[in-house]
Formats: sequence, structure tokens, C-alpha cells
Amino acid sequence: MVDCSETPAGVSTDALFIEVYERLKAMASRRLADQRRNGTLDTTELVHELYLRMGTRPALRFREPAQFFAYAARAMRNLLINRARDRLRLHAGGQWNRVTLDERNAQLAIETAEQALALDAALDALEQADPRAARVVELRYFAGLSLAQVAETLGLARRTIDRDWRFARAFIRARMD
Amino acid sequence: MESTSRLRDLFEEALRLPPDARARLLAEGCDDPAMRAELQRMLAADAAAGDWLAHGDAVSAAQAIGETAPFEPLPAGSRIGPFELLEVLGEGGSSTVFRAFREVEGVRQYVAVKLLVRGLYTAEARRRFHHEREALARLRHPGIARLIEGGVADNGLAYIALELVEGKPITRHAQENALTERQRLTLFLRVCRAIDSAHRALIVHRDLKPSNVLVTAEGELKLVDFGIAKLLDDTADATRTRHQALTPAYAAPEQFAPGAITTATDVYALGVLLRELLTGEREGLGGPRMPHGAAAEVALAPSRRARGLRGDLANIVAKATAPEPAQRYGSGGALAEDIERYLDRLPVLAHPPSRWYRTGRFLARHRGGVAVTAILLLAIFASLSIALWQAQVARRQAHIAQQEAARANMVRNFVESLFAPVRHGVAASKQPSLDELLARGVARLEQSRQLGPGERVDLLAMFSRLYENLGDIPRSRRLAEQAVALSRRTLPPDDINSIRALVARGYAAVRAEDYAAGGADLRLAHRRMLAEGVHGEALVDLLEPLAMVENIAGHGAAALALAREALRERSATWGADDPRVGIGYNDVASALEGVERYEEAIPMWQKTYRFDLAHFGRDSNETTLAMAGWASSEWRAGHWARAHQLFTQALAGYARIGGKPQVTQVYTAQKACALDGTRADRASAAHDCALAQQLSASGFGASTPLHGDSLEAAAFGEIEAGDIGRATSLLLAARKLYGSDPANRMRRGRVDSELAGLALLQGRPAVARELLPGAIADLRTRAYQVPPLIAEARLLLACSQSPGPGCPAGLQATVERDLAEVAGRHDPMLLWVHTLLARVELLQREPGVARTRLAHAILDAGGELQPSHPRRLVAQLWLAVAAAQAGDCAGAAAQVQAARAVIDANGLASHAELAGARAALGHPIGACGVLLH
Repeated sequence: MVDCSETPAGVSTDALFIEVYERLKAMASRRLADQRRNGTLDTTELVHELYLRMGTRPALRFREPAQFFAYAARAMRNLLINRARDRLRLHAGGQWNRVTLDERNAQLAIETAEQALALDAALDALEQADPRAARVVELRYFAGLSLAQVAETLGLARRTIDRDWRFARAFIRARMD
Repeated sequence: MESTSRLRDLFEEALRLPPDARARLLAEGCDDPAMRAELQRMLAADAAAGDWLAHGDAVSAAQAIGETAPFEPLPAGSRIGPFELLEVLGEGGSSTVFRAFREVEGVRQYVAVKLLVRGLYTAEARRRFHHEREALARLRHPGIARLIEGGVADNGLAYIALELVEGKPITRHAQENALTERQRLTLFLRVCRAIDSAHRALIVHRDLKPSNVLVTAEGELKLVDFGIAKLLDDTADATRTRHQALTPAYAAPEQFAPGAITTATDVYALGVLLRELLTGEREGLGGPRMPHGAAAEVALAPSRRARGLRGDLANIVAKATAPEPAQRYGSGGALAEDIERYLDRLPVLAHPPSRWYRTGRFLARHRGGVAVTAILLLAIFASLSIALWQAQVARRQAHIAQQEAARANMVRNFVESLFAPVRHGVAASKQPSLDELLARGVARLEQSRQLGPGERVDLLAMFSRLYENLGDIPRSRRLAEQAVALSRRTLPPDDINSIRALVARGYAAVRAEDYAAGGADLRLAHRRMLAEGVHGEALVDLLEPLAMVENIAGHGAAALALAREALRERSATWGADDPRVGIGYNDVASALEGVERYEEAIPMWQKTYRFDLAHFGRDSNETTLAMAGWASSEWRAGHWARAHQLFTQALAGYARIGGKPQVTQVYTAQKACALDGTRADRASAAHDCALAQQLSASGFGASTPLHGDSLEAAAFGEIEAGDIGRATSLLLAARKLYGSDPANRMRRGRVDSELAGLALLQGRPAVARELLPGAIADLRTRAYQVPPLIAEARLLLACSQSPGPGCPAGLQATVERDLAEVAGRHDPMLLWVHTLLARVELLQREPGVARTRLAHAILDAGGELQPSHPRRLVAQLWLAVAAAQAGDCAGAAAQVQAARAVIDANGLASHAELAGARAALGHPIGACGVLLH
């Protein structure tokens, strides 16, 4: 039996996770469409908005914020990877691509998708090598927490988180380049 | 893991060094060239300024990638490999499936082409695809769609061509053909068998769901889309699964965490599928699942049951979908076997072992009637011994549960060893008798050296319960006493086995009607169970006899609280819709009746009735009993007409069930008889009373107190019919059957009160005065407050008519006080009381008070008493007396006239009940003269 309680991937999917994922997807889709008109939106804003919305429904209680952010990060990661896969699949399919992107954006989309998949794979490897560092990346990159917030959420010293982050970045980048 | 933490150590150590010193560290500290290369890349990456990870974030990346439309339908005629695509058959998380064909030597072969969504962008993806294809090539089973070909098309898309299966999802097939439960289960067995063959080839489906389990028009069953199957022996890959696209509702918890995917993963999906197949619903099981660490805590909660399913099937689904893979069935085959056991009415493995469960199953298989054989006993023992862990396991942690299970195994081995001769083919005539087997068990228990004190106490308690169930109460008590004594010497008092010993002793005492001793043991056991967090069947088993003890001890409120606790516990243990919950409602209703909260008891009985009706059908004991209970509460609450209807229905129910008279059937007939007699419904009473006497005499003997009850009940009808002679002889016959047994005290009180009432009618108040004080005391031993109140009112009248010894001081105040307690009720019997009190008031020359009292009382009871009811008429006549005494001659005359019309029309002129009032009106009253000739 694998004890999953200590790994960053120790969130299981349940109704709550599906709810987080579906809401995040809907919000991201809606907000990113708006964003073309209204400027930028970042992960922090999106995840915190989700947190506020979900927090108002008692049926969607999280035992603690850390649990929510872990779920949100996982959901965001799924969302990103699914998009990346879809994008690359469409690219490979050629004639199937009915979504029009201009040439420059299309190039960026493909590159970002490839990067996202590479990041995902690197993050998987990091999970094996140093689960806590991987969790820091998830919370930082996918849930939009600052390193200070990550430290608070995980209940660890800021210094520890900084070290995790530095190791994680080098580890991932070494694999992505 | 060691090399990776070494990686971080070296990385951080290197960072502390100046760049030129780092090379030496790596050269000296790291002899693994791959790791050295990685460290060098990492150090370089660390030194490089800026990166995507530090500055970007997920949302902006997602935005840059953009949203993509779902798979667009391919234009017909698109080619993938040798196949021409026709149309999309379905889209899964990992693939899109097309109907396609190819020409092979002029023959058109139709296939399903599965295009992998993810594409093969990395070497790892290509490797995985290769494995998948290998896995599928090894799978050969008629229930699994065959792999035809796999490859990478010109445009880089990976595809697999599979046997084309044109069918409906299994759930739709079942629904559209309205399959019975048995048919659904049989169909599901084929799914399990197919999965099992894959499991034996070490292939896990991973994405089982209805749309992957198809039934063709010919009724063939095919599993399709072993899309994310992976060889279990592909260890390098075994844990990397998280981003596999899968279908969340069917995905096992471990599929979302980096745990090993095993056959148990498919078992989980099979469990979800089974539930959906049986109930048509596909919702999460047992509420939100928690992250794994927490999951272990809830995994063993006995309340976790598949909603919408009952009994064994719920247990099978619960076991298949246990959050911890280790607790599930080991394979599709094991699940199939348990379903087969269910279909064959054999005990299923998934059942949380309960005391009589296996016995019940065994009997279900042998409905024709089974002798108590050694084999039956074996079944009992097996159930008992496995039950041993049930109580402990409840809501405890996994490791404790494991220890307990190991102990239970030891105990079971012991028990099974007793039966070695039975099982090894001894001739039937030489097989040991039940008594011999039990005696041997006890003897071996005393000699056995392997058993520790816990197991010994356990087994002693078990033997005690077994003897108790077989009716050998003295031996049951002796063994329970031994169990308690041993537990006191060897175990802490809060040990589960110490508690079990107490419970066994309590049961045995209760069975021996030693309620004081039994109550003490059971109460103590109850407190300890609660303190130890023991829940489930063990607690329910305790609460029931305990509630009974409290009830008998006159602690109605305590009994009610226990009944409520038992109801909650039943619901939590088996789910709100389990048939066993019906008994919980029943018990709460009874307990409410026990504290005379009839109006609250009625809806609880209704609930019981509806519940039992839904679960057991109309012609079942459960449903009929609920209806009888409901009738009884309606009666006590004073809704006589309604009660009459319900009693009639309940009796009809018992008649339909047939068989030997049951004690509850006798009670029902007796109550119906008494009610109809009291209502002066002579035709119904004649029928019900004859039935009651016939049932009690034939079923239980004409010399039993139970038969006395039947005779007594019949007396009520005779009293209202005015036949004092018959009523008296019935009451005396009943009293004779009650004898002097203290257990029949209340019965004697009832009879004496009625005999006193008859004595009053006959103008013999001194006899009434003799009988009533004892009767009142006897009647007070039960909660029902109206009978002693009537007896008190009778005594008050007797004492007013003929003061003498035995007339307590302040009796009138006592009666008034007791009457005030029940004044809120609409019990028509209160008219009896008010009439008696009014007569006392008339003797006391207070006609105004009497008049008001009677006017109100007649109004209150009138709804349930027909106009010709003697009690109503006699109240009206006394009302006329009161009016006349008060000087309202016109009112009195009108009252008399109205009553007289009814009396004459019904031929009641000589009715004994009316004699006293008629005599009073036959004398001149004040200025009004004689009102009735």
C-alpha cells in the first residue's frame, strides 16, 4: 500500500475535486474569453475567486485551505495538460483544426503546449525525487500562491520553501531544456 | 529514493561552493555519471537568468494554448492506415473511436478504429502505446473485443483497430429489456468473467464504464476499449498514471494518486457499474472521499453502504468499492464468485458477518424445512465466530481491525476443528447430535491451550448465546457467568470481550426474566460500548433487550431514548432504507406507546407500516404487525372508528398469512374484541371475540393466561350488551386462569375493576369497595392511565354511596388530579369516568357541576359513540337528573325524551347500565316530578 498522505498528489478525486475542476474550467473558459477584451487575468486571481465562491457553499467544505489549494492546483494542472494535448492533437490532425489562430499565436500555442507537457513530465519526475518540492511548484505555479503563502499553507518555514523552490526550478528546467 | 535525496544534497552543497570548486565536488561526491550530468544541467539552469516557471503561471499558459474544440468529426473517407473512417462511435478521455473499414481481398471488413487523443509526442508515449498494443494482442476472450491491428498513421496519429462491436451499453440494455435482478446479475457475471481473464493475463482495463461494456443485438457481451490497459509487470511504468484520461465516476481513488494500479482498480469500477446496473443510478458511493490518509479512517465505517441497494448486494458493492484496494475483492473472478453465492443463496463473503446471517442464508436455501443438523450448526458456528470481529472492527482503525481479524480467524479455526468428524464423512446416523456438539465445544474450550483469555471469553460468550438461542437458559447463564468471571480475572473491563461477556450474561438473565440482574449487566455494557465507540449490530443487539428491560421496569422515558438510539444505529449501520430499519421504527412506536404518547406513536406506526409494506409486501408478518400496532395506538388515542378499521384489516392480513396462530395475532384479535365490545358493535365483537378465543385456545392452550385475556376481552361486549351474568362468568373464568402469579397482577386488577363496576350496577357498593383498592394498585403497575382512573372513580362512587373501610381520605381530589392529567385526550372511556363523578356530585347535591361535566363529556365522546351506545344514553339520563335537580325541568324533560326515543327504538329499556339512572328519574325530582315512568 502506498501511503499517499505525504505526497503532493495525495489528493484523491471525489465529488469535491470534480466540482473544483468543473468550476475552474468554466471560470477559466469564461474569464479567458473576457480577458481578450478586459486585459489580463492571472492564476492567483482565478484560484482565489474560486476559493471565495466555493467557500460560500457549506456543502463544499474543505477541511482546511491547504486542501482546497491542493485540489485547485491539481485541477489547474489537469486543465492545462488537457488543453495542451488538445492543441497538439489538433496541430497533428491538420485539417481538423477549425479554430482559427493567426500564425504567430498558433506558433506560441504549440510551443506553450509542448512546454506544458514537458513541465508536466518534469513535475512527475520531481514528485518521485522530492515530493515536497513538487508540491511547492504545484501551489506556486498551478494554484498561484506566492512563496510566502505556500510556506503558510504548508506550515513550513519560508526558508525551507525557498530552498525547495530553487531545487525544483533547477530540476525541472534541467529536464525541459 | 536514496539517489534522489542524494541529488538534492549534492545540488545544495554545490550551490554553497564557488563555481570552480563545484566540478571537484561532483567528481568526488558523485560516482554516477548520469546523476553527475543531471547535476551539471541543474546548476547551469540555476545560474541562467529568468525562466518560464518563475515568471509565467498556469492560467497565462492555458490562455496562450487557447481553448480547442472537442474532436471534430472527420470527413467521411479520411484514411488512417489501411482504414477508411466512417463516423465517430464515441469519445473517451484517451481516444476517439470511429467506425471504419478496409478491403481485404475484395471483402469489406468493418472495424472500430481507436485514435489516441494524446498523440505520440514523446518517446515514453510511444513506448506506452507499444505496450498497450502488446497487451491487447495477448488478450483472447469471447467477451473482449479483439485487437486487429495497431500502428502509427502517416500524420503521426496512433491508432488501434479493434473488432467492431455494435451494441448498447449494458445499463441501457438492462433497462430497455426490463431485466430482472437475477438477469442483470447473470449478465454482470459475464462482465466479471471477461475482466477476470484479462486480469489473469495481468491486464487491467482501467476505464470500465457502461459505454465500454456492450451487449449486442444477439445478446453477446463484449468489453471494449482496453484503452489504458497496461501490463502489470511493466514495473517502470506502474505508478505513472495520474494524467491518464479516465472517467472520474468510475475511477478508483488510487487512480488519482501515485499508487500502483492493480486488478483492484477494475474491481472498483465493476462495483460502481454493478450498482448502476442494479439501481439505474450512478452516484458517488458513501459521500465525498477524502485524501488517502483520511480515507483509512472512514474506510471501515459500517454505515458505508451503497445507497439504493439492500442487504447482500449493498455489501457486495461496498466491498468492491472499498476506498482501500486491499479491502476489495482481489479480482473480477472473486467478485463473480460472491455474486454467484448470492444467486445461489449462499452466504456472501462481503457481508459484515452478523450473528445469524449465515444461518438465515442457509435456511433460505432449504426452505423446505431443515432439520437441526450438525451442518446447520456448522453454519451457525461459522457465523458466530466471524461475527466476533464485527463489533471490534466497527469504526476502528485498520491495524486494529487486522489484529482482530487475525484473532477471529484463530477462533474460527477452533470452532471448525470441532466439526472435523462431521466434515470427514462420518455416516449420517453416527453424526453427533446438537447437544453432543455443543458439549464437546465447551469441553474442548476448557482444554484448549492455544486460546488466549480474550478468545476464551469470546467463545464462552458465544456458547452462552448459542444455548440461549436454543432455549437452554440455565446453561446459557452458567457459561455467561464463567465468561464474566474469566474476563474479570484476565482482561481490562473495557476490553471488547469483557463487554461481550457482560452482554451475554445480561441476555441470559433477561431470558430468565431476571430483569434486575439483566438490566444491570446490559446498562453497564451499554455505557462501555459507547465509551469504546462500539457501534453497529453489536450495539443494536444490546439496545433491544435493554429497552425491553427499561420498559418492564417502568422506565418508559429511558426505553424510548434507547429505542431512538437503536433506530439511529440501525439506520447508520445498514442505511436508512434497509429492511432492518423497520424494526427500529416499530420499537420507537412501541416505546412512545409505552409512555402514552399515542398521538406521536400513530405517525411512527404509519411510518413503520409504509416501510414494511414497501420492503416485505402486504401479506407479511412485519406489515401486519405494524398495522396492528398502529390500530392499537389509534384505539388508545381514542380514535375508535379508525382503530376498528385497522384492526379488521390487520386480522384479515393475519388470516391471509395463515399458519399457526401467532401471539401477536391473538393480541390483535383480543384488542379488536375488546374495542368492538366497548363500542357496543355487537356483530363485530361476536366475530372478533370468537376468533380471539379460538386462536388463544388452539394456539396456546385454553388454560393459559393468554386465553384468559380472550375471555376477559369478550366480557366488555357483554357488559355493553347488558348481560351482567355472562360478563361476570367470563371475568371470573379469566381471573381463574390468571391465578396468583405475580406476573398476572395487572390482569387481575383489570378483572377486579370490571367486577366492581358490575357490582355497582347491581347496587352492591360494598363489594366494589372491597375489590377496588387492590385493583387500582394493580392497574397502576402499567402506564396506561385510564383504567386505574376508572377504578378510582368507581371507588369514589362506591364510597359516596356506602362509606366504609377501604375508602381513602381525599379520594375525590386524587381522582380530579388524575383526571386532569389525561383531560387533553379524546378517549371516549373518559365518559365512563365523568358519569361516575357526576353521580358523586349529584349525591353531594351539586347538580350544576354535574350538569356541566356531563354536557361536555357527552359532546367529547359523542363522535366515537353511536347514539344508541348505553354509556352515552346513561350519561344523557344522568344529565336529565342533574338538570331537574338544578330546577331546569323543561331541559330535563327534553333530555329524557330524546334519550327515551333512542332507548325504545333500540330495545334498551331493560339494559342494566341504564337501571340506576332510570330509577332516579322514576322518583320525583324537586319541582319537576317524575320524568321517566
